[in-house]
Amino acid sequence: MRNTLLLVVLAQFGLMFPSPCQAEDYEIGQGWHSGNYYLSGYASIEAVDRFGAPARLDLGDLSLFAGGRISQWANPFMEVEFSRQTLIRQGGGIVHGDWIVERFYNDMILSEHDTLRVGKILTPLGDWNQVHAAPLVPLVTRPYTAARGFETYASGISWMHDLEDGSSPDFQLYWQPDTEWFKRPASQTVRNFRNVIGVHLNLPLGLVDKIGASFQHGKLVESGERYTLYGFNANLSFGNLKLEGEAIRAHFSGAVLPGTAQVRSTETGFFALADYTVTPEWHGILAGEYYQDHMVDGSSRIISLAVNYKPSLPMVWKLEYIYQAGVPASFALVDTGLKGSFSLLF
Amino acid sequence: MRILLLIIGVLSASLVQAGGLLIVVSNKVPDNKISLEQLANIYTMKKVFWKNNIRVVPINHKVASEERKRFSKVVFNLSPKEVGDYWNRLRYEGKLPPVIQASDQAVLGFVRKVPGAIGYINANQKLTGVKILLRLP
Repeated sequence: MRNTLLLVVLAQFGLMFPSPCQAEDYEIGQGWHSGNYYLSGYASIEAVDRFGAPARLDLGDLSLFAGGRISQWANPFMEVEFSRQTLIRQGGGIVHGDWIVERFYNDMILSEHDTLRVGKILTPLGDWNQVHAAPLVPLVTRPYTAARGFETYASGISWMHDLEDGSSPDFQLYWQPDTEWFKRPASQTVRNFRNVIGVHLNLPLGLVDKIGASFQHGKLVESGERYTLYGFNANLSFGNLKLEGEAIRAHFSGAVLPGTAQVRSTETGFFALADYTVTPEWHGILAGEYYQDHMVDGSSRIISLAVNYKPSLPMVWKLEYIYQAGVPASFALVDTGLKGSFSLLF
Repeated sequence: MRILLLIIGVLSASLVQAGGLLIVVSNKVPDNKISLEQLANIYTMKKVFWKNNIRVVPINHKVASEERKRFSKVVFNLSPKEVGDYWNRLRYEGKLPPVIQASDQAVLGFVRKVPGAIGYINANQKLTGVKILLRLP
């Protein structure tokens, strides 16, 4: 049923039956364009060796994104992803992947500087959540700070404002009146949210450098708690050295339903990463994170050391050592171990 | 054969260096000149419409071309790979990066055909059916 729905959606976008006379060149990493429509995506294969657990090889993501620039009022975009499929596991046993509709929205361009976006979006909270495709991020492991404490997808309406001369910060307001559309399966998320509002301010400092601040307020479906979150993020470049960091602080209040346990009323995370370009192909990366979940007694402390090799623009090889301490194994999504990956934009 | 290709490569690079680049647009674009900052805004997808509400369609050369190296350096002071990383992020964010064309002739053909198109070509090209907005060194 879900696959049939996706085919119908793609057909509505006109992507399945493009006019042959509009066909243009395809180039790897650049996607495929036909008239007003385009199709692109990425794939990532990950080898994971958590010390003390069976090693495995996963199809981390196979993601397809498609969009169209049809008119001022019709600019649809969608991303569909097949995620976390075990290919080989030491000692046997396979975890099957899930199909997920990551994004599905339409942009209406109100003016040169204002866009109204309706549908399912990635919430603009920090930088990592907005751009987390494996070929575009320096680590295999996504930080807790950029994923756990807030609604990462908003389903509803969003207003984006930006001035091209950068004379004032860009901002994006969003409102999710109910729960997530195309809800992800339980294997993909530990928390679900409803009635979410938020705003993100972004001050560009150059092509890639920026400073951002975020606010989000909503309700957790599982525990009934309300939360208010403040976030900060920065990307700064100094020659061959790129620094990035994100921080969140959330306050939780209200009902806690049976089966859940609030240890404290606040949740805190901060994450910092240094990426040094040794040559255009080789990058050395050092990252550190602290995360205190409001439902877990101990905090998580993580150090990652990684090497990226980018032989060409659309592809990247990564090797990563992770040291994790301070949290019971039942909670730890990130364990001490080694990870390697190959990712490709297509 | 390799030596011949090397000579051709060096010569074409010299031509780009010597003549610079022209920023060309369709005759349907109302603007007659453009600043370097406005050009950067177009190629970072911040400016998406011309004054007459025609959508801006920027065109790129291939990542390894001398023209793109020159353009990336003059407009952004970055390498094509660094600017390419930025465009890859834009594509993931749902924005369509510049269309790629393989040669000056292909760029000119695209600009003549698509009303809001803007591209860069070597200054030694013969021009018909397009407007020059800016000359880059």
